[in-house]
Amino acid sequence: MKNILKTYALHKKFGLHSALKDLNITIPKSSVYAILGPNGSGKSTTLGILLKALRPSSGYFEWLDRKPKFNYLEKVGAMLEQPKFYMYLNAIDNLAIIAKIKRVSNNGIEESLKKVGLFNRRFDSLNTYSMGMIQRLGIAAAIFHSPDVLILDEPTNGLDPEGITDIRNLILNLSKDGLTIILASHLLSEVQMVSSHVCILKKGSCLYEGNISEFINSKENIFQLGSSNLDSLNVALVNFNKLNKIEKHKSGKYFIVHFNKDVFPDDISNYLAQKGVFLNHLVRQHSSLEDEFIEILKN
Amino acid sequence: MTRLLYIEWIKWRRFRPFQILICLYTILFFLICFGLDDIILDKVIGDLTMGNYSSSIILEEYNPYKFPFAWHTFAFIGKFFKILLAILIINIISYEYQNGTFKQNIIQGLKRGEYLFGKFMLVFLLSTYSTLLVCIAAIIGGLSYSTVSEINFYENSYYLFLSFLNTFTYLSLSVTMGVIFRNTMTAFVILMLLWFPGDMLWLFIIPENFNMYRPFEVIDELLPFTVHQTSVWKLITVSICYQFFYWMVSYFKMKKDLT
Repeated sequence: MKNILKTYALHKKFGLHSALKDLNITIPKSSVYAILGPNGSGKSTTLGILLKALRPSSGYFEWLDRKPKFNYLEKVGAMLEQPKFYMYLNAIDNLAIIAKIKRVSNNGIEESLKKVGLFNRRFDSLNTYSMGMIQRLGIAAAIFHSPDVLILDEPTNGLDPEGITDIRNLILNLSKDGLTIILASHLLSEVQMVSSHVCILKKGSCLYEGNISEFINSKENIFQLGSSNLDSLNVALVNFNKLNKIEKHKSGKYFIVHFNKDVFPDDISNYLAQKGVFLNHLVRQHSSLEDEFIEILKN
Repeated sequence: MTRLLYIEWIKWRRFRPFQILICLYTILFFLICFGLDDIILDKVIGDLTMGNYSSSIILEEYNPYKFPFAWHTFAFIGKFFKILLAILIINIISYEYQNGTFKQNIIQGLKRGEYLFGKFMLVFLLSTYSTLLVCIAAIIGGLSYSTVSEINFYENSYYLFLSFLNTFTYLSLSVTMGVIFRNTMTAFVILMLLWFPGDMLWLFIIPENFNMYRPFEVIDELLPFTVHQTSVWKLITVSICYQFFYWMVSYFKMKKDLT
């Protein structure tokens, strides 16, 4: 049982428009799998199909390496878009309904409300909650029954910075416990920090699928280098044999320098010191997923 | 089964329209039954005093509040109040669609069939409740108007079952309307239009022999003002067929995508 999910040529049409075209993805067990894509690329459609809200027009998927005839959703925690609740009920009642649907006890409810910081408001009707609090309750609803798989669609939508950090830490902690997490997002920086695998969607097709570290570190190391004497820094760098590319930053205060993969900061400062150039600015710039993402989308 | 019932219970016990409509239903029904009993009696007597009978004899012999007529009388009064329950059911179905909680339930692992069965049980319970009210009213009315010697408690008590079928068939159709239109106002207005003039339009299409079996007519005929004009068993069979049809339509309508 290596894979949680494998899809075979999933296709979904809304009228004449194909929202998903022959999607083949494999989600390994215990991975944090991110589905990335701009608006309308088919992220929510994919999750909708996995969660049985939508039926694929053609193709099928296997859950735990078999056809999902059994009710696997009881072991899945899910939050799609804006989570929907019975607004006239309080948090406890809403989660109690979900507990009944999933045939689990109510034991995890209070614990999870504490985790998302809603414990003190648990007996208030949801009509009095703010949008961010509803979002937090959505997270609590997805995790309180300790699921095997967590499916989150834009989990940080509408949250304040503190909330975003909380969610990020929560995802990291849960994935340490061996939970498989499927995450849809257009916030690339978010995904980069938490996920292990990535799939990039554009107009319903998968453009890239694979390990995120391979994806990011495929090319080179990039540094921001600055010195009080930029000209001599430039001259010294041009002679460095593992240099790929050098360009001045828009601000004119430092260079953005692309080195080979095996170059580290101490190599650079050591080399420059020998040349008599001293740095006042050295920042390692991760080749961000965002750049790669935009690059892939362009092609 | 208790699980689905419990889910429906948590969902609706604090739902304002549920509380209001159930209270309204109960209070109005008893108010009409026992607040207007003089007017009702006058009306019935007026309708019956056509032969040589004097009204006092009719009141003695055929008093609709006496057993065994009480079952029929209160079932008949009760059938007008099912509209309140229909509004409630349509409201509940529409709320779940418009508020997105139906989709949420499915995502969390409730099967569509289970969801619909929950609604089936809700309709069953509401119909049972309405039958219970009719039963209580009939017992109170019957006991207070009949003298002990003439009480024939069980005769005609099958009207309770007819009352149940009447409400249940009507509410099943309301569920279907809610599932199709997903909006309280639209569903309710269409339901009313189907009733009138919709039910009349059938007369142009179907042969005369089947007049009795039009969708609303058959519901109505279960509890006629005077006596049944067709065999009761036929009416029961046809209305159960209608129920089956309504629930099947709802089920297939629910199978569709939830966006």
